[in-house]
Amino acid sequence: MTQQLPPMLTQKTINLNDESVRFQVELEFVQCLANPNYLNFIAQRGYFKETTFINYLKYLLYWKEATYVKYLRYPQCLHTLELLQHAEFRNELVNAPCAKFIEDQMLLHWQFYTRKRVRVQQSMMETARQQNTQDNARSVVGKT
Amino acid sequence: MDIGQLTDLLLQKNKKLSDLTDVARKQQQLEVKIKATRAEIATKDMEIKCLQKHLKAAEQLLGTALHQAKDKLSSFDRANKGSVMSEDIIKYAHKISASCSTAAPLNWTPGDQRRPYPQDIEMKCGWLGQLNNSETNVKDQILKPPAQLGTDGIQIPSFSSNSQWQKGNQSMDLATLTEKRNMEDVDVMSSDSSSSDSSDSSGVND
Repeated sequence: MTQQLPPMLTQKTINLNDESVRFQVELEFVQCLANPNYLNFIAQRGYFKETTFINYLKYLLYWKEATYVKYLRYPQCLHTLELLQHAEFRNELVNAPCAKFIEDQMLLHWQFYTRKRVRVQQSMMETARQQNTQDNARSVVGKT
Repeated sequence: MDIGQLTDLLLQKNKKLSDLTDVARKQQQLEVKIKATRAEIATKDMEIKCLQKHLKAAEQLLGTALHQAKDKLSSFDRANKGSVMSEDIIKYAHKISASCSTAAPLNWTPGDQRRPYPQDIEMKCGWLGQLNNSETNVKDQILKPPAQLGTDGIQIPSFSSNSQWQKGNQSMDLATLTEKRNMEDVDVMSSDSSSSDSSDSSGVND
């Protein structure tokens, strides 16, 4: 699958010490934390046992501030980031069923608003239909 | 003793007795006054106690009102600190709904590959993926987050051909996280095998 790369990424040299690059790298990484399969991947490779990584996760909490939140396309990653601050959660993520459960819950929640909207639309159509039948019945009675 | 002396003694005694009765009468009057004053004191005491009760009740009411007012003021301050322009909120709401990142698209069915989180393809296309694939010839690309909160050990080493992640390596390696993902079983990402996600690379600021 070919994708058009943004122009800056086709440069030959990527300066990682550039603040804007680091910003984007951290922005991507924090949002990748919303992916439960990725979290399972990281957990299985033992990254959650390293103090440096744990401190890095704590450092990433700056994304919760208003000036940074507005750049997040997947704000649900912040919830995962908060959960990751707890050791019990990190330890549990090694298990694949745990990641699967989280993924299922995320999907259900993701669909919740859509389903509610569909239900509301259906109920509105239902009431409109009932209104129509009542009006028709009245007009028939009026005519006779 | 003769009669004159006796009469004198008698008259003296009479005088003493009449003086004493005067004193007794005066004392009686004083006693009456004392009783009246005591009664007044008692009524005044009652009034003072009454006022005291009222004061205490008023103090309590004022204390409650003050406490509530302080709470309200602190919540005002908190609200003002977190105030956001309504246009910003609307823009952000539009941003997160347009790419279906927080609410599923209306036509989503269980076979659909779209997900509420960035997937393989998006990760590869972003900066993290590019750190792997770039043909950089930079020598000193050791990126560290600011030296705070104990992250001094975090390193993202440069990418030459011999910078493969080694087993004993204690430093976190952001770039090789994605590299390893590419190399590992795709089974781990069972739901993400081929994404037909229509949005462009995730996370990059629009």
